[in-house]
Amino acid sequence: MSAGLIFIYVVIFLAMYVQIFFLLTFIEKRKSIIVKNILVRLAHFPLISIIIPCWNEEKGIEKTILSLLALDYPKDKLDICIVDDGSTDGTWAIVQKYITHPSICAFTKENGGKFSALNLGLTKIKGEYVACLDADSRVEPDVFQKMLPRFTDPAVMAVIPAAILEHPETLIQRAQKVEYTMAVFFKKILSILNGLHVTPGTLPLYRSEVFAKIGNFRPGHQGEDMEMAFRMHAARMKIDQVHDAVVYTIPPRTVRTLFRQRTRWIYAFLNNLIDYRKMLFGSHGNFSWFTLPTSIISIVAVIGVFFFSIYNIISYITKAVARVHFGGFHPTYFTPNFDLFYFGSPTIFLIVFAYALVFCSIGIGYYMVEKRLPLSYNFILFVVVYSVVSPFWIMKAIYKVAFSRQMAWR
Amino acid sequence: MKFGKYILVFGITAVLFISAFILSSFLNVRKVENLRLLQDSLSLDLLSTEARFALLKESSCDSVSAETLLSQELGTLGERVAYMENQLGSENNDVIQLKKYYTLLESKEYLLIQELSKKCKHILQPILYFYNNEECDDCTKQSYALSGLVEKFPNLRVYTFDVSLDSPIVRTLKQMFRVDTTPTIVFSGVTYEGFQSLEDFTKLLPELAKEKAKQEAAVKTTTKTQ
Repeated sequence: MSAGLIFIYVVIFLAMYVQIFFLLTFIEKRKSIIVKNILVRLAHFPLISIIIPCWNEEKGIEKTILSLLALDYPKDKLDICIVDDGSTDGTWAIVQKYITHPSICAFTKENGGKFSALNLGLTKIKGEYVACLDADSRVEPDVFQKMLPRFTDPAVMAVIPAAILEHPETLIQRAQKVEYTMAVFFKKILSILNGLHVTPGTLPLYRSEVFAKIGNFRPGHQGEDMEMAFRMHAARMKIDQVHDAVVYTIPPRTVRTLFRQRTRWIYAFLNNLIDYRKMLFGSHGNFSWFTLPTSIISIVAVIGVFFFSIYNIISYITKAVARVHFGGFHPTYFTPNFDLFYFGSPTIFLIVFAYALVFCSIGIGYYMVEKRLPLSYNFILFVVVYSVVSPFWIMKAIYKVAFSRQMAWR
Repeated sequence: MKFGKYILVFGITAVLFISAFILSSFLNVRKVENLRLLQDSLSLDLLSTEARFALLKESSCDSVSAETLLSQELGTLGERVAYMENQLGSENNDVIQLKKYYTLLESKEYLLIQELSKKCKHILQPILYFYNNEECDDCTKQSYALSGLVEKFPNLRVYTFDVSLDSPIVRTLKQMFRVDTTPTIVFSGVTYEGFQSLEDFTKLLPELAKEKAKQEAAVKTTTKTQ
């Protein structure tokens, strides 16, 4: 057996391990995960401050503000703080239209990065709870009513909602829809395991004491949301997720923008992992023993499978060239053989099993979000786009980390 | 944190993982059985061909067409046996048995073709090809050249023999044609050692080339008249 094949078996084993871990946790906790749509009426409405950092968001900012104003929550208990991080487009002009609204305050500053905008916001607010929202997102009216009850557990210091895509338009967005929906399931399970490694910009809700205890946002290698989650775990703070509290987000439309976004995410993850390396296999429960190792495994696996595939493609081409060189060109050489006799190697079964498990996760994700099964060709798009493009953004991120290059924000 | 769950998941994963291998080996057993059946049916075919040939001996050659007498399935069998060898390894007993049987069938068909060619001038020429799966870099090239050759001249029949196979038939053939090295090719009773390219073959087969040209010309005329 070749070393490449052994590597692939190890990768498939680990991938199956992770999927089964997720599914088993789901089966254990299925009753608490599949909640009935009963809205818990809150006995009291705490003051919530929402910080919206924005940089050149003239396209989305208005929609974001309007969705917040339409929240099903007492207006006097909402405090929306928009921080313009030195936009060069019409963002500030749009924000000014709303500045007179009693719940809204707005500030503009020189460009300094998202974390600096969030920190400015933190100095201007006084809510009992603090939420952060990217200016390209839109929230469902009942989002806080669904998230707040989680804070009855005193250990919970932050709650994140489910981020999903509303109307995917391009093929790249369709592929991401599958990923985001699957992520709802994964994040649910990670939250049960207390292993969420990111409080993304799609409306995480923090207790304001989090910042008093562990400090404000840090640059976090352009992943301030990831750094915050790492720091919270280091301080043994719990992050929960509510999958039926929905925030809609607009993901990258093109391969190019998706590539840039993901390179930034992986770059931030790797750098934060290096900064918090002591937490790997440390005393932080499933975060140390499941989340971090799983993320590392997935990065190694994607790159490994990529090179294994490249090796196979090259040897196939070399063989084809040799055949034509020594035997002349005959079309019959290249007609695929569909004889079932040649089907049935262990690798094929393993790949089928692994994909079946992934499909289960996607299925549960769809069921949780849309109450239906994912019978669409987006799944194929997802598999194609992510298996072809993701090795490149991972490799680029590793390269950048290795050579400590500064990443451009956009 | 409960490590018990980590171990339980490991157990489930291991069971699923191993079951892929069990499933595959179960299928391999079925495939070997399937090949044995195919070999038996080929053997029967050959026996019947021999009998038909003996019966038709006195009649005219027109009624003895090589295409109808010989089964095309020997090629498929060869490919499948090679696949099983690739899957199970050349040391596997089932593979060795399959290869021995296959070699036997090949030599029987070879003898039959010789007989046929003697009596009737069928343009069906056998090539014996001796190869070795190990320590023979030229064998891969040779196999490519031979499959190219068969594509070009469908009236050729290539019979392949693995010299490392411990079979009396292979030993006898090796002795008969003084095969010491691989690749070696035997064509029209002459032994050629070392790699023979497609061009080398084409030179060796002038009659076949002529016949092919004739056939092509005939096809062209028919199309024209149509």
